[in-house]
Order: sequence, then C-alpha cells, then structure tokens
Amino acid sequence: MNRICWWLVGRLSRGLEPGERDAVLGDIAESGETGAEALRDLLSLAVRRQAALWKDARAWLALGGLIAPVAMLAGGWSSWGSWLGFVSRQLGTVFNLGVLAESAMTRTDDIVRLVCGILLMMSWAGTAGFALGSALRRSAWAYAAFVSLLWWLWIGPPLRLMFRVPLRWTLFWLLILMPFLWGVHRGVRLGSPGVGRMALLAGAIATLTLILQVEDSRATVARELWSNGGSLGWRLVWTPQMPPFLAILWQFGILTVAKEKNI
Amino acid sequence: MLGEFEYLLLTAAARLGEGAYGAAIRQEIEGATGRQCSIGALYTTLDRLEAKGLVNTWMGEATPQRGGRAKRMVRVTAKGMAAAGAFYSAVTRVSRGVAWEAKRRAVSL
Repeated sequence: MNRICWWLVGRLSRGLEPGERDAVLGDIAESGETGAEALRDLLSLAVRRQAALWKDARAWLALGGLIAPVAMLAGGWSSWGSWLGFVSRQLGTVFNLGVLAESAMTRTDDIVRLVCGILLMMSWAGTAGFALGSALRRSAWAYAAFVSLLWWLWIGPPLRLMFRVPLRWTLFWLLILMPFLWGVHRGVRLGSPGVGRMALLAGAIATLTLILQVEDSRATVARELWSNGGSLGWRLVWTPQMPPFLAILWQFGILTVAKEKNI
Repeated sequence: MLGEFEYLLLTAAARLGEGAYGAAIRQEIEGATGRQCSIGALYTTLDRLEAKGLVNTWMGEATPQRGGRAKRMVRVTAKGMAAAGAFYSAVTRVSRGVAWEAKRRAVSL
C-alpha cells in the first residue's frame, strides 16, 4: 500500500513546475511522512492549484474556445452542414467509391477544396490545442486527454459510419488529433500569453469555427455580400479557397507573435 | 487585511529569519497552533503572499536529509512586516476587555 502511495506521489508530482516539485518533495522527505500522508498532502496541493487556476479568466476563455466549437460541430453534424462533415463525406466517398461527392465543381476545384478543408480542420484543432496548452500549462495534458476522449465519444460514432475500413477512420481521426496535441505542446512550451492574446486566440477559434460552417445559411449570406456587395454596390473577389488559407495564415501569425513575445 | 493563516505564515517566517523555508514554516505553525498544516495550504498561501508583495521566495540549497532536493526559501518584505503589524494591532485592539483577553492577562501576571 505504502509503495503504491509513493508511486502515486511520484506520478502526481510530475504535474508541478520543476522548482516547486523539488521544494515539495524535499519538504515531504524532511518531515518523514508515510506514503499515505505524502499523497494526501500532494493531493491537497493539486486540488488547491486547480481551484486557483479556474479563478483566472484565461482558463475560462480557453475552455470556452474549446467547448463552443465542439458544440457547434456536433450541432451541425446532423444536417451535414459543417465543414467537418464536408471533408469526411468527401474523403469517405473518395476512399469507398473512388468518385467525388461534389459534382458541381471541376475535379481540380474539388480536390483543392478537399485539401483546404483538411488543412482548415487541422488548423482549427491546432489553435484549440494551443489555447488550451498556453492557458493551463502543465495541467493542459490532463484536459487534452479529456477533450480527446470527448471528441472520440461524441463525434466518433457518426464519423465511423462513413468509413468502411477502420484504418481510414483512424487516419482521419489522426488528422484532428495530431495537430491538436501539437498545439497543446506548443502552448505549454510557449507559456501563458496574457489575457489580451488569450482573447485573440479564443476569437481566432470562434472565427475558424464559423468558417468551418461554410455551408451554413449564414455563411451563404456572408458570401453573397462579399461577392455582390449587397446594397453598397462594392464587389470583392470571392473564391471558396480563400477562407481556409486566411485561417491558416492567421494561425501562423498568432503562433509567430506568441513565439516572439515569449522566447 | 490579512487572513488568519496568512498572518500565521508571515509571523512564522519572520521568526525563523534566514532559516525560513517550507518545511520549517510548517513545523513552526503546527507547533504554535497544535493544528496540522497541509503542504497545499502552505504553498498556495505563499504564492498569494508573494503575489501581494508581502514575501519574497527563491530556491535555496539542497540537503541530504531532503533527498538532495532544494528548499523554497522565504523572506518577509517590509510591506509584509507592515501588514502583519497592522493585523496584530487590529486583533489586539478588538480583543481589549473581552473575557478571554482578561483571563490571559491574569494568567500572565
């Protein structure tokens, strides 16, 4: 029992910053506590640290930036209206039938749109991970595991139906998961970006999510306004490929700024 | 205004002087109050006091009895001393004339 407690103490202490871990484990060693007492002490510290974390607005901004998009994606799923739905449908059709799902466009346009969709999806997952990692630091990995499990349980079942071969479904899942974990890693390494930049990140995630909803009626209105100028009569060039590239450029911009300011 | 535990921590650190660090402060508080002081309460309160500018902390040397791990040393700042003094004065003033204060004075005389 004592050995299990000490093993747990060792695992739990990894969640502390290196300096604090040294001080806390040293204090425990000096006071000659048993494994159970040490575990209780460390748990009390972990619980208080978590409670303190949620007093910070940045943690709520990061969580809001994650929950809102997941809810929107899941909500848009049933109507096949989300970009995620488009990408997975397109991929699934190409994989399973060897033909393209969107017949209104040329083959080149269709492929470009598919690639853009995948990049945008990866970009969204990376930004969400970055926000989580930079706001929650070392605790981020526990939340990342929780969010990944949530995605797997929530979005996984309808996605699995679309792919006949499990390997293809797993590959698709990795397209979301890998950039997300990479984003968490970058966020943890670069540190807390401050409330202002955190709000910018949350805004970036929200905007990316809106772009994901490109087939939604609101996006159609926005596209009409963009293309025809509405009542103002001005006109800008619209291509379906622009939003994903803008979104990706934006994310790289944010990462670059965060890197410049923190290192 | 300080909280009760904040005051206890500041007073223990001030009493220990150069030898104030996590485990020693904890022992001092437990000895004075007869209550258990958890590491969680100690370190989160230290963080709070440091954020308020009432203490400074830094990593000290490692000793064999700590398994070669460094200590988190604590020093009370001038602002911390003033805050502890103000807390003590307030407690002394508000306690004047109450039953337990009169009893304590009688015992000490």
